[in-house]
Amino acid sequence: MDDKQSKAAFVALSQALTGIAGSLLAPQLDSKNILQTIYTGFVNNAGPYAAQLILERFVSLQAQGLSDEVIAGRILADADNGPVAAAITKLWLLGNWYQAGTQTNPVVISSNAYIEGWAWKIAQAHPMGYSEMEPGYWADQPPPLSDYVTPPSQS
Amino acid sequence: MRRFTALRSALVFGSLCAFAVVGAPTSSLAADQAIVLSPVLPATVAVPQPNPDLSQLQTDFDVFSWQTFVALNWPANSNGSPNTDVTIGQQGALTQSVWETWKESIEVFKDDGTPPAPWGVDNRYVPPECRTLTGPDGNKVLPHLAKKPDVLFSSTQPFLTGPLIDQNGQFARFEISMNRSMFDYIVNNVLYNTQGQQRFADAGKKVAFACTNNGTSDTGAVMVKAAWKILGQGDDKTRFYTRKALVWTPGTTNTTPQVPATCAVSDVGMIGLHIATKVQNNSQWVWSTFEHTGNVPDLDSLPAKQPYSFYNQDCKDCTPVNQPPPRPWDPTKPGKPTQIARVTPIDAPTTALNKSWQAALAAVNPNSPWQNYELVSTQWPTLVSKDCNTPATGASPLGNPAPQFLANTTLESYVQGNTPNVSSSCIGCHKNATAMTGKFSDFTYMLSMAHPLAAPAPAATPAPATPAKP
Repeated sequence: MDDKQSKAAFVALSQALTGIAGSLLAPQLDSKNILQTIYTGFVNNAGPYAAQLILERFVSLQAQGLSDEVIAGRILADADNGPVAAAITKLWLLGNWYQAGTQTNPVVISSNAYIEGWAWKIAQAHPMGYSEMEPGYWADQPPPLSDYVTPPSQS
Repeated sequence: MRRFTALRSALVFGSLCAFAVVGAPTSSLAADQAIVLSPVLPATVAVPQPNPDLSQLQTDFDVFSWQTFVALNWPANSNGSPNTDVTIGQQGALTQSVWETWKESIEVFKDDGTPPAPWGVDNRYVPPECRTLTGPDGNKVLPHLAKKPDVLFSSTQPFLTGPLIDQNGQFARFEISMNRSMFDYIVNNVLYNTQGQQRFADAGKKVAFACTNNGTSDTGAVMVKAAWKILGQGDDKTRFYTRKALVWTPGTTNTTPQVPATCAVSDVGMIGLHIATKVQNNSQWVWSTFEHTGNVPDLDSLPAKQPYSFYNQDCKDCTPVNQPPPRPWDPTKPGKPTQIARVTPIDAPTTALNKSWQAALAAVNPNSPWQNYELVSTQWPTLVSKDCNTPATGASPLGNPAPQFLANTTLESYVQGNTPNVSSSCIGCHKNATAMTGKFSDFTYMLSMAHPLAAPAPAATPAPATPAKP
């Protein structure tokens, strides 16, 4: 796979693992360059061999026409790919890379990876120290979950 | 397709201008497309590409910025309309620009909270210290020492901001103006004093300025912030858009040392211009920022030899690059020059676009000062708002701005960089703007300049009745 194909496979794999639409994980107009940030964090920390292995496994399962849910289940059950898949999920959710199979001492990929962590959005909240809401927002109900997880119009 | 349409009409301006034409702005496919020098403010951002990527859209917005810059700096008639008998930069046409006929913030948010003079009434407030002086162009008064009013006040300190001081030790000056759309909204809703703002909030209303309306003369809300330097030794005045201005330094009582109010008539040159336009479906506004090409070098090119207004490689005891000068800050005396460099270079497509527009401006007049200005970038929301005031999604009220950060070295000198919540982002910062009520003020800090309406003077106490003589 070339770099473009690898990134496309990574987005599709990430969608299967997180349940979040690929168009949200990697928006067409990606002003924070978040896909490149997360992808580089994944390859650099998992290592090129492990990265290639899980992406090829995903592509082969996808070619069988399996659903995202089935693909995610099979990859998570793999002895070698499973811990990497869990680390990818946490990377999108928290902006941190947890070494495969560990629960402590994560690496913060970048400030943008942190503030764009999906854990905040799923909780209809925002990370500590960074909010895009208007002054006084804390007095109001947060936007509905659908506002966070529905792909908006971009172009 | 994105949100905008293209306008197509143009008149050939003159035989000397091979590609500089006057008319309504047209669509642009790329930086090298024919450029229109037009006094007409663009109502929309033309997006000619069928499926544009981020870079292409950035160029489209940058073209919009240049169109806006040219229209706003077009020579104005006395009534504020563009003088279509001349073109921008034409020899002998250096009169006040269209935006300079707009209302300056201190004219609207008066100290006594009373209503501002009607639009079109030339009643610019002149501080008492300036009243014995004469000669400014159009009664131009430069009252601000920082982008937000009164840098010497503590409210600006959390941002590590501070005065900008040129190589002659002169403090840069600033002015903030609004167009008629904004002015009318503020006046009609009595937002020019704190009591009016409170009534507005108590009624459950939310500040929401008008958007451009394509196909009509409604330009929507536009606000500008201009940065000026006092021209002096070593400055080539012909390279700047120059004005003669009353440079007023407000007095302070809460600083050490206290600074008395002063005023002087000075030749000033424009060094920076922010333009914020509320374009339909861009509820976060579109932010264009321009600078004079001689302001600063890029940080990654230091040391840089060319003379700059705000950097000198030979300065021995200057403060570190991009650090505010040491206190005390007394703008009435020459200060230690600040060393400023651009942290994020202007990107290649915008640089190419700048060259095209600068060439068009030079074609009008080889000595035109306008060829010495450059677009730093345009910040715009990548998520299309539902309408003028409703973001695409409540979860992303900033609309994922592109670029993520944007700084003008004369207006955000000390907050350049790429750290979220710290480094300059027009939309990210102005999202925090509130009126004096603490309520969202639609991306402008101007409403926080409102003062209370002074209570009417008590009626004269009647003299005690003289007892009747027995």
